Amino acid sequence: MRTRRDTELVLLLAAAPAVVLLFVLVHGAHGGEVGLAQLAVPLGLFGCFVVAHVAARFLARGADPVLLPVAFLLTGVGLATITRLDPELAQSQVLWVLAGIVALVATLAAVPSLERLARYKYTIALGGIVLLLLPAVIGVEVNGAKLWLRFAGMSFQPAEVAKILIVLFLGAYLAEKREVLSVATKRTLGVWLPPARHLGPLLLMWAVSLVVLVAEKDLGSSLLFFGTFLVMLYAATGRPAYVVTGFGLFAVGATAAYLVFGHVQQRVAIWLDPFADAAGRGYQLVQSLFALADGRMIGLGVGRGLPGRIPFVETDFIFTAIAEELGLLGGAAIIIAFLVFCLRGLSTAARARSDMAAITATGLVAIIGLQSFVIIGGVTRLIPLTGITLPFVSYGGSSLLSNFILLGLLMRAGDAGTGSETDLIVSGGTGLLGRLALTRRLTGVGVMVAVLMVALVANLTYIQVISADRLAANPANTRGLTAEMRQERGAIITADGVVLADSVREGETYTRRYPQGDTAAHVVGYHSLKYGRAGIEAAANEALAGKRDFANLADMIEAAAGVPVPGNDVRLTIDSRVQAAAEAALGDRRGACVAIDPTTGAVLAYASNPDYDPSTIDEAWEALSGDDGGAPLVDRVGSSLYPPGSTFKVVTLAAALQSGVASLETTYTGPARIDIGGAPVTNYGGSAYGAIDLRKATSSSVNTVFGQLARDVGAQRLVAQCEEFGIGSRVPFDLPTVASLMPDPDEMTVWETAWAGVGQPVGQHESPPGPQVTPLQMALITAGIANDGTVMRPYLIDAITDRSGRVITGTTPRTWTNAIDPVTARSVTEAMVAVVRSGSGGRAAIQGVTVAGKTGTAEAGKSVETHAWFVGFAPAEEPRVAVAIVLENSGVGGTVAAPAARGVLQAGLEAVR
Amino acid sequence: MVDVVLLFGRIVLLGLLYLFLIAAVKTGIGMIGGRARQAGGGLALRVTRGPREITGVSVPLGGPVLIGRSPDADLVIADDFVSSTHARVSTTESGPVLEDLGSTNGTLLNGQPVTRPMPLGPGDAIELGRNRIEVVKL
Repeated sequence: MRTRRDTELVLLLAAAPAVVLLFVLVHGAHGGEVGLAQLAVPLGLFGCFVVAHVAARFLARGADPVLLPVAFLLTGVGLATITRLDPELAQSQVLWVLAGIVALVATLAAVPSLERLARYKYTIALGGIVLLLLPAVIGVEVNGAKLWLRFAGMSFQPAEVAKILIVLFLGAYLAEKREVLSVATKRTLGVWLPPARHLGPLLLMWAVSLVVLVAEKDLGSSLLFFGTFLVMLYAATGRPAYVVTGFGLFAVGATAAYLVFGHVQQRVAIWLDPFADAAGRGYQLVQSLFALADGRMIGLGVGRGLPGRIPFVETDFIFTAIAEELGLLGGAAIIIAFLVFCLRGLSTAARARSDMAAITATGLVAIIGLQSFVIIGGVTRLIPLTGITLPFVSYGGSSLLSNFILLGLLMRAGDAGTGSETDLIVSGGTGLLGRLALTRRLTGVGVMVAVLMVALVANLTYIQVISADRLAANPANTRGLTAEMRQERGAIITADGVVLADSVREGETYTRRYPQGDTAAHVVGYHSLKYGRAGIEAAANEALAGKRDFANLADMIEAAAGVPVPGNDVRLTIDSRVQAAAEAALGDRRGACVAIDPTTGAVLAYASNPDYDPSTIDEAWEALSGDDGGAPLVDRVGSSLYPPGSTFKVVTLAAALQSGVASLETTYTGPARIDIGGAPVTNYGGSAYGAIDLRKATSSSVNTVFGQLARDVGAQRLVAQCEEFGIGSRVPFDLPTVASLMPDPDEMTVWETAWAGVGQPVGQHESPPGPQVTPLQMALITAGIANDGTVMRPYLIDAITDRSGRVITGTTPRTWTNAIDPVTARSVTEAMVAVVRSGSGGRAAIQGVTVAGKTGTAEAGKSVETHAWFVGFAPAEEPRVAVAIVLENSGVGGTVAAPAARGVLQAGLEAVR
Repeated sequence: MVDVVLLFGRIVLLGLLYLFLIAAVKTGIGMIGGRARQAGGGLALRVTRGPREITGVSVPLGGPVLIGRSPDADLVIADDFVSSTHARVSTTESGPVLEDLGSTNGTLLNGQPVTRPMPLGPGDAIELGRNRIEVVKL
């Protein structure tokens, strides 16, 4: 049969490849060289443990063979993780590991048996309590807890050593008083209780733990001390009543502390709802949960996570860093390692030589078990978070040192162990303790530890698998945006090949660039870590970010490996020349201009003024979203409603012709002022006309004629025609739009209908006054007339292409609505041609091209300048471009908007052949 | 490509971690299981008469077995007639030995009071007041 030490060596050798490989991954993650120099640390670490193993061959031949290899694995994983997090800290951690190994060997050499230590139990107790309470008196407060002593530039956490001393004392004390404590005399509420005077030590420990809680503000240590004590008490007496009573007492004390102390309340509040203040107090825990959720099953990969986002990740939150990058499987492995360590420790206790050694070993196991449970449970939100270290794994000298001393004591207890064939030596003199009785209790402790660890794994599974998607989608979670910075986001390119947005590499990340500045800003939008996304950056985010389709095995492997996906490019329908013309047409004036290919719905230009530069969105956000400056972030083309003024007459005319109420030859009288429905309708500028047909009334834009015409068409048919053109519905589009408005026809008075017919909303009723239109909607009406009455669905994204330019998805033109029949469309076109040839829109005329159009001068309110409108298309015979432009508070449509639109039409004609 | 290598490394790492844990757990099982089976010479103590909750209970003689009323005993008999640590069966090289631990009411082996350590064999009956424990083969 193999000896225990041979087994230990085999297990050390079995753990070494995992530790070395983890270091290789840490160094290899950033493409670093992996040579002997990088492997010096893991190999040196292995060497250290081999030295400890050799020492054990001489000093503790009979010690448990599993404890040292598990400690090696945990220390190795911890050191590798710290190296990955902060190489400088790792250097000092290496020194502490060395010191730890020395302490381990020294413990084995200096402590011949635990029973020997029992002789000095009161000295040990005094030392423990002094160390425990010292920081409360002369300590330094760090992060709301007074735990540290500082001298000569070194920080030391005495509680770490104190806990071992206290366990040693308790082991000796409980072994001696075991018999008295376990004699039950009274039965209270169905529970056997020992005589009141024997409750003394229980009450004392309770008081000490509360002092720790209150004076040092350290819930974690307090819970750890008291829990360890209860476990030892149970091992000594076999009476669960102590544990129940003890937890009752602790609950009372903790509740009182909760009520009295703000920092305890805060901890609990964060635990109950960390998302309530995700950017403030809950930040650390929330970031930990997000990190875990990102890890999923096999983790993001070493060096691929964002553990740096979590404050104190190298100490309290080191478990999160491991589970983020190695996933549920890696995290569970760490938990199982602790469980194995605890069970081996308990089996050491079961075969201990004396009751003192058994109880002490149980206490040492309880420290490791409870400490790992409290901190892992804390960072995974199973229990309220308290800052303590993860044994062997976390960064921290005092912690590491005391863990190695603890390991030494456990190995010593195992070496001295006599096994189940021999009687336990008892400390009290008379009260024998049977091995089987002890084993029963230790089995109970083991089951409890196993339950706690299973609870940790179950909770971790819940976070990393079941609720991972929900956590990833949490609005407070910006990890996705940061992760996207690692991959090249696709470009946004105009139809004629001008790059509006692309990504440039800067080290490991990519930066978004907008080479054309504010050109087509409202189309391109922005992409900000702080403020989210807008425009095509938002609408085509999936394509730009490059989502995997998991089409083949290689793709799936790459996804699991976290290979960044290059984004796809978005090819716009926007033509840079038409866009430039549209932006020039707006000039410095507020307003919107849009140009559409009427036969397809492709948007050639889409300009809104004022605009912004997408590359400076983060810096300029305050100003851009402020009250002054005309709301540059608003897309006036698709999201702002304006009264359309006389441009709306094309709708009224279409309704009249389509319904047969009138023809272009129908004659009305056009006085300067006429009463319709009991109230006046007036002409712009007070012009008066005699008998005039609709063709002429359109070209001269006679309000009084169109008022009468609207009255004759009636509210029902007028609104119905509007709806045929799409008013009242949200335009289906690549960018967010609002619906243009008409009132409920049942609520419209005759006078209101008359004014609606000339494009002025005057109603006052429940439904909104109308017409109120977006420039995009007006452009679509114009395009519909140009396209024989069929309105094509507008679109900005012509195609999504991959890096090589191959089209992944292309847009096929589709009909949106059939508004009027081709005959009506041709008649309306005829009237619109007259507008430009001989009417109000003369300044939109282009040499050699028949331009159809309609001007508009919309009342914008009392004592404010009117909005200037022009809608039109060209060539009238075979339209290739339709335009709508509105210039806010800029005057008369025919004098201001028509000449502005002319340049856009011209550019459109050149662009679309 | 580097990423795929790292993924492969990560999967191997997780595999190694679990292989180690399985090896560590297996070591423990072998140590505990093997010991229990080989020890005790295949004998056990069985309570044939006593308080209902332990009647029929068997305790293998893998090591010393402490009989008494105290929870510290290996075989706990909740009977006021039984002393807190009443008697002990020890395992020696020549077989199990019964001794009385100075109990108030004494221990009987096959009807005879136990005044000095007595060797035990299969079929022997130990009596503590009304409680009867027999030595049986496993």
